[in-house]
Amino acid sequence: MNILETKNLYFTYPDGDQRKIILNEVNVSFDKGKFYTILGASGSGKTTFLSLIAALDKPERGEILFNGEAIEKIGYEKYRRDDIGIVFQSYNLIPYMNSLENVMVAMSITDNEMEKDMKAQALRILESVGIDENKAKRRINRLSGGEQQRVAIARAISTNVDVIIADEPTGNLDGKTSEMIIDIFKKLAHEQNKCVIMVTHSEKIAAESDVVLKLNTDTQNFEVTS
Amino acid sequence: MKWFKRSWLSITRNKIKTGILFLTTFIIGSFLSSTLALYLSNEQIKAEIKNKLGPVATVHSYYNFDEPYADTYDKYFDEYTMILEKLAQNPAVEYANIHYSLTGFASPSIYDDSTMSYQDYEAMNKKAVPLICYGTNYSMPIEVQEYKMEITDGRGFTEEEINTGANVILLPENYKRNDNQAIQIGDQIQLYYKKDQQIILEYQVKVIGKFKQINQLPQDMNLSDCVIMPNQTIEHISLSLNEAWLSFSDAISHGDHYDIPQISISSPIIRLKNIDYLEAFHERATLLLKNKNYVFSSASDIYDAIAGIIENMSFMSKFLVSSAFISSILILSLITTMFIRLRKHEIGVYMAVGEKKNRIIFQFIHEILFIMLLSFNLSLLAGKQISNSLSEELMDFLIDPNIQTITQTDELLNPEQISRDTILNNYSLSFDSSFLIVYEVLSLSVFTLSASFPLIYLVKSKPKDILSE
Ligand SMILES: Nc1ncnc2c1ncn2[C@@H]1O[C@H](COP(=O)(O)OP(=O)(O)OP(=O)(O)O)[C@@H](O)[C@H]1O
Ligand SMILES: [Mg+2]
Repeated sequence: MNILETKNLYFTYPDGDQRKIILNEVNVSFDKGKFYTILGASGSGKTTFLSLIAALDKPERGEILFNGEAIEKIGYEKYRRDDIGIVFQSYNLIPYMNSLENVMVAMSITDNEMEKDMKAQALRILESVGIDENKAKRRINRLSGGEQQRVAIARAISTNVDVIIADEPTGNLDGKTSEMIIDIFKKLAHEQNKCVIMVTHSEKIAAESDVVLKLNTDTQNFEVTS
Repeated sequence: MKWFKRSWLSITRNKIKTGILFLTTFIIGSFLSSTLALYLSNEQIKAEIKNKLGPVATVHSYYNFDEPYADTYDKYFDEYTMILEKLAQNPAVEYANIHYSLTGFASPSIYDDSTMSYQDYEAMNKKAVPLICYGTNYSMPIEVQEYKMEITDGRGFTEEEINTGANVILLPENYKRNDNQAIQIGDQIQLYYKKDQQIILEYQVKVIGKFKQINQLPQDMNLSDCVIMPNQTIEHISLSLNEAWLSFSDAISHGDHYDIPQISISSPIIRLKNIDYLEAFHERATLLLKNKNYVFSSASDIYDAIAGIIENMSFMSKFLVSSAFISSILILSLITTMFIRLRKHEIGVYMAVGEKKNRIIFQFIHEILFIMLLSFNLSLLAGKQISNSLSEELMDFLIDPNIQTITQTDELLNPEQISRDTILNNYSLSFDSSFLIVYEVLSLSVFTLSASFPLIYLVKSKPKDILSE
């Protein structure tokens, strides 16, 4: 069974007097162990799609199934809490906390089982994305962009979720740093059997992924290439 | 990391935000607490003055007597007693203490100094003791109930004696018989009225009790030369005296009974059950007494005459405290809206990781509540200083030295002669528990009104909208 699947996803935005169709009956599916990238022109609707599968917004019609169950039934809040991790382009870390605390915020919110020594677990996860204990205890604003994004990834995976959703996570980073981040995502998919879904503008990055979904602005639907 | 810990981190680490909220609240709180203290203190002082004066009223008569005097006098007396009885029937009335009195009597058989023998007494005074017949309309005189006098021997009246006007009296305890014997309860004594060495009327009364005045009475009334008896009894005596005088004066062709003492009503006091009834009672009684010969006056009149400045202060402080309250809600709403908007992304993050909405609200409410309430409570100290100088400023502003203050008020209704000066000399602001409770309630409602709306609005919005702004 697909871990994530959309059924006739339909979404519009108001555009003057009319409504502009952003997603027109989208049917796509995602599996564990694969690294997906989403490409598409600016303004085509990539972020919109991600916010729907991340349950940050509600589709007008259609369904999103997680392990075959509609996320509406699971409950949006619970789905976000226990089933997915989100990584944003602008990191979205809590500025007055250090890296460790940022990760532990998510860990203490989820209902998924965490290790008894939550702090040690968090430090290990941070270590796995390249944040050592010194940096883990530093305030967020004293970390570089790349480091902050690693913390954000650590936060997204800290709750033992199977799905990682990322919107242009390397958009603010230089080439070398981007590569390291992409590397982390690849490893998450291939070594830890996660389903990673990532929006990017870079064909080069897309080439490194297992499946590319291209949002066509004529049809407002995806063309899938493996 | 629970919401509680998050809020604590935010308070301690966002020092500038915490500081701004704290300082603003402190300034606002000082204004709010000082004006509130002023307002509540004035209300309290108002209530104290009213309580001290008590819910009392009286009717003074300013009757113009025409000729023939006897007829108009009877008319006056009937009218006056009717007015008083009518007022006394009001259910708000606790009692109407009405004393008839009749002067000019004496007793040949008793004297009023138990410390010396009659022989010594007579050598000094040579005269029979003049007595005032002093009436009561209560079987146990109000003066006894209010600890102004006590019955030291014998008993009070019975209802029947009061209603029928039995010939029974209470005698001051220091009286003694001329034969140096003590007066016994049950003894009959003689009262007489004498004119031009002629005895006009003799009247037998029975002593049923002895009394002693133990506290001051209104208008410095002294009971030591009074025999107390039912009002009805005095009416009987007065009637008998008038008749006796008529037949006597016929014989010597005198005029009407202008020349002899007439029954009168002294210091009637109407006390209400509750101070809150006074205003309404005052209004109704004033309406009832359209007759210009009688003037109703109550503790309200005294209050109006002496408490004007407190009323003005109270009015101004009410205005000040409400404007402090409203402006604090406006200003703090702005600040908290800013405070929360600045942390929109943070709220978005909590939503993105699936935090429950009520916990997000708890965190922010806890943060704001903690800072605001701490600040509000510390501002009490500043408020205390400010309210002191505020009250002084207000007083200076309100007291017009060119206006003469009323110093003399109705002694019957204001026996302690409380004046504007006594009020001002005892003026003090109070920060008692009722002030604290009202202040806590006020500051909590300022918090609730200013913090919850922006917060609820924010949490009600979609996470995507919050994150994408
Ligand atoms: N709240 C909104 N109301 C109306 N229109 C919106 C709203 N949000 C997005 N849009 C429009 O919907 C379209 C899709 O937006 P979206 O952000 O999904 O594009 P995107 O593919 O992520 O673009 P980019 O590559 O620039 O991030 C755009 O034309 C945008 O202007
Ligand atoms: Mg986008």
